[in-house]
Amino acid sequence: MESDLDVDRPGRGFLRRLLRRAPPEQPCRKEAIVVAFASGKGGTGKSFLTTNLAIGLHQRGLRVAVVDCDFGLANAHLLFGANPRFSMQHLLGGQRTIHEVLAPTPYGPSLVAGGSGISSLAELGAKHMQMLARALSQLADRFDVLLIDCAAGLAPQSMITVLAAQHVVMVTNPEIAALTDAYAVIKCLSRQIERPSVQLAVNRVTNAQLGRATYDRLSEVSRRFASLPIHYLGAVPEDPAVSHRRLGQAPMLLGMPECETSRALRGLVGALEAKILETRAIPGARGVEARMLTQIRRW
Amino acid sequence: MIRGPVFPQMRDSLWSLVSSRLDSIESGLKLVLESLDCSDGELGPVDGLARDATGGAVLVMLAVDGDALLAARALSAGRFLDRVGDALAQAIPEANFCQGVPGRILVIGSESSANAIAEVCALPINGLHACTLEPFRIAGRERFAVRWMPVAADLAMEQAPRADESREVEAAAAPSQPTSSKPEFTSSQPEFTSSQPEFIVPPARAGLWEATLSVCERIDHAVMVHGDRYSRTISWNGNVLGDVRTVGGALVASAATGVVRELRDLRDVRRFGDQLLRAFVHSAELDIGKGHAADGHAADPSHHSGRNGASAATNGRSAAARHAAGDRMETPTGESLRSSLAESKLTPEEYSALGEPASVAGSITGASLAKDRS
Repeated sequence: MESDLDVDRPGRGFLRRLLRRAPPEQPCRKEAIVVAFASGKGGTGKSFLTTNLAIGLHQRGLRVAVVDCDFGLANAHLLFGANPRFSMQHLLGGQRTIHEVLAPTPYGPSLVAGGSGISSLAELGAKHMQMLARALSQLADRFDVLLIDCAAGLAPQSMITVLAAQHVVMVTNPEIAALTDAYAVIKCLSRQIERPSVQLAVNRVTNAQLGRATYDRLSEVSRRFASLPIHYLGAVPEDPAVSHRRLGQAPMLLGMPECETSRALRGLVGALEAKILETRAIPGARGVEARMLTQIRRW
Repeated sequence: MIRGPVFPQMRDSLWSLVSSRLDSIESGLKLVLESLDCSDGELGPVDGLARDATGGAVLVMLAVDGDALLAARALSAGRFLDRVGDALAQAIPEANFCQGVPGRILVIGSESSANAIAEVCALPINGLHACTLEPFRIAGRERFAVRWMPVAADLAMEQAPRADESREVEAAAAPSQPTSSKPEFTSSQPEFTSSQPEFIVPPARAGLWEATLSVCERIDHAVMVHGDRYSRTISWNGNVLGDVRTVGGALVASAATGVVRELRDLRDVRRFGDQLLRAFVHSAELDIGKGHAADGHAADPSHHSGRNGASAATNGRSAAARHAAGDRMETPTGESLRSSLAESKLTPEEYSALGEPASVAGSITGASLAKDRS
């Protein structure tokens, strides 16, 4: 006898998916669109892009929350210039609710800080991931967009957070090491039943064509070997001003709004917003908690 | 025994066929006793007494061509049920009848007795049902199809709402006047096909059956629900997805996946629907766990259309649902997350392709720009 797919819990199971194809006249819950920022290799600029795109989306009138899931290496709160009292550590320890952990930032978006109490992804078990799924679901009810800053690499915990999203912004650099690692993540995504849409953001390009060329190469390989199409979100130029920025300074998009990097970032914001609005117009998507729990069960 | 001028051998052969296959004629119908005399020997006995899926008594009568007393015997059986139907539970304890379930009369005939059956069907007998068996041979074996006949009582029931309305008017005029009682079991309203007997659902389970029908409607437009009074088979393009039966006042659902469960609440309906969908996915060859992303079909949503061509509406809905969560396509897996991570190691060919100069792998092309704009 075959067991059901957790029909006891709403939001899961084949049938649930089926029933969500409801007639348009039925009201459906508006849940936030979840966008994950991922990369295969560390140091590609995920947190930089996450914070700046969050600010850009906030400027465009969307309610945005950033969830720093780069466990052990969380630094989004530093880029936001925030010093939240509670962090993911308190949430996953069961000491605080998601609403208590959620903190405002000086630049608009709200933040769930990663904190430093979780030294590595390996510390997180299925129970923690379930708590995170629940927390994200609660957040999703309050915001238009959730941006998840994921940990680099191919740890299961990281992939679960990536697969919680409807869109994955794959952040890479033009160098071959970052490219192969990004492709490894794409290949893993291609093997999933419910895969997010993959957008490629190429960071630190030295000229305007390099971003597109990097995308063309990765897209070709991804299409050829993994049968997964990826989309081009945009490129951000190499800018010494980014690495020279100090703590306490405003994020690039606000601190130097007229520089080339900020213009490129605004282009990314526009492209991402278009994807978000496109996804919001489609009824019947499963919730973030359901998507995560599906992956946690497969863990 | 007075049976009129009929051919005994025909009746006997028909009875031997019917008595052993009552369950094939109506789900859950079981023969309890043979030869029940309802008319003090004047009209001859009813051929059998059976118990149906709800625990009600069913008088089974054979209609044979030339049986002049068939109509009279049916009327007599109807009066018998009216008189002592409620007492049969105590009178025949071995039958295990359920108290309070109204009795019925089932007239079974063959094509040659169609005239006799039509005559009986025209009689105003409560609880009368009639069917003919149409035998045919296939692969050297004889089988029979059951064709249910419309009866006068059904037509009367269709007019019942108007009668109820008039009763309400009368009741308003004279509040002390008692109104008629409702039947114990109700038939479900929405059905996919009309040329079949009403599905008798216990009142407490009527909502669950409607929810089940709603699920069936949502699976695909080609899903059919058909059957007899006490069972409904759910099928898609000739593939049985499951069935629902009335058994002793309960709804029991069995899916083609092998899962059997009683439908007691909406959660059970969801579980059953889950299994129906699995069976549908299997029948339509939409099994998302069996494809291969690298087989060249992955990017083509039309590949999901199935062997027999699932309806375009279904494909459209499926595509919308896939798109809602991103680029969902065929997947290679029922594999675990860990194993898919392990399988993500790059092959030498992939390394090679990624390591080629950008000018070789592709520079800015009109095609890629157009694709991104779209």
